[in-house]
Amino acid sequence: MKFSEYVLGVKAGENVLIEHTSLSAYPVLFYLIGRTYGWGRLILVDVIDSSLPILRWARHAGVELPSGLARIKAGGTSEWGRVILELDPHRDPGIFLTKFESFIKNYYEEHPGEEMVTVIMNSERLVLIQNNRRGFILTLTNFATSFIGNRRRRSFHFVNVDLADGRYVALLEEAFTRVIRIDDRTPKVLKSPVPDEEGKDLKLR
Amino acid sequence: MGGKLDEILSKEGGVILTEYPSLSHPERVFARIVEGFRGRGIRPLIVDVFDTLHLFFQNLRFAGVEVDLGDIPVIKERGFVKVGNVLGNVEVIEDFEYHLALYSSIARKVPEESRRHTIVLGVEKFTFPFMDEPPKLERYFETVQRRYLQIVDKTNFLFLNTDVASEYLKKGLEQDSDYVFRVEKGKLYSVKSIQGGV
Repeated sequence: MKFSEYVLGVKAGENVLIEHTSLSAYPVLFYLIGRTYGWGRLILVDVIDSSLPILRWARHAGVELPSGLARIKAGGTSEWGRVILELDPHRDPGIFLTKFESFIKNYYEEHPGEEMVTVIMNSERLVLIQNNRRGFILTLTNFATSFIGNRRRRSFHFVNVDLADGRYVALLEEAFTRVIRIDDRTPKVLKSPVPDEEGKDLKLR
Repeated sequence: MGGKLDEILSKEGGVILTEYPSLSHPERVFARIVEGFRGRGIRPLIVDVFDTLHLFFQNLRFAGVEVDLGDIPVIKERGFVKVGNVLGNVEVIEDFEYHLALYSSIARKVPEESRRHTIVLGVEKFTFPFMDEPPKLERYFETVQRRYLQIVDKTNFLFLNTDVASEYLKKGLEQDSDYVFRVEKGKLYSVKSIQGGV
């Protein structure tokens, strides 16, 4: 099965974890998600410029990312896209999460009838800058988990497993309805609500 | 899944630990336990740490399995998503004495009929901040966990994510459990049973 066909099977309300490494071809997956659902439905939560390797990949690959892509900028210095919210991840993480939550709920209300697709790029950086503090790992996981079942959106969380705390990854794996792993160029389904899909490789094209 | 679980479900009393890795489906075992109880007319009490019940429920739902939890009494320990008939939320975890005091004030609201069957979800999340500190973990075992070992006519199911739990937490719980199961993908294996004989 193709990756783009697979993501279309993700239902509204689901949270999907995409585990990647520093070397793997994960920018392609981001691009395929945007192209499949349509860029207008996407909200990119960009943690400390995690999107920059994707922009560079797109340039080299000769594909275009829309300049008006809705972007929640959580730290970092880059100014690309249409920044709809700016957050400072270096400040109190509680304030950070509260601000994010109230913004995103308003955003859903302001866009009635649209099913949003949220892509969270490298949230493990939030954990790392909190020095992998256990309490924060639980808070952040619990926060992400609380959106599961909310049919206004579906979400894809990219996590670099080379850098993330293993237990942070384990908590997300447990909670999310699907887990996909990409070690090189072949995404593999590790967890799915459909048992037969587990262990299957997906094709990029 | 084996008949061992059905056997345990058909009788009274026992501490049953179910261990699972993150990429397995413990929620399916959980659904079986709830159904097993329901089949005998029992409404168990669920202790839900950090919204583990919510994520079990959602994982079941997206797999097309509906479990009716509306009338099941639930005591929450942290977390904020309400599933089932939530009687209260114990916000304090790390101060064990205070935790127990808050817990018992909510436990008084548990209907009499639900007091002898309990399912605890998210033990690893309760102990997460201190599970690599043996002194504190031992205090937790002594103050909270082993309190329930003295009561022999209660059936107590514990669920433990072994990718999150420390080895010390896992082995401590295994020692104090009458039965231990492991979930691998959809399958359930029995690794400890109190009925080993002399």
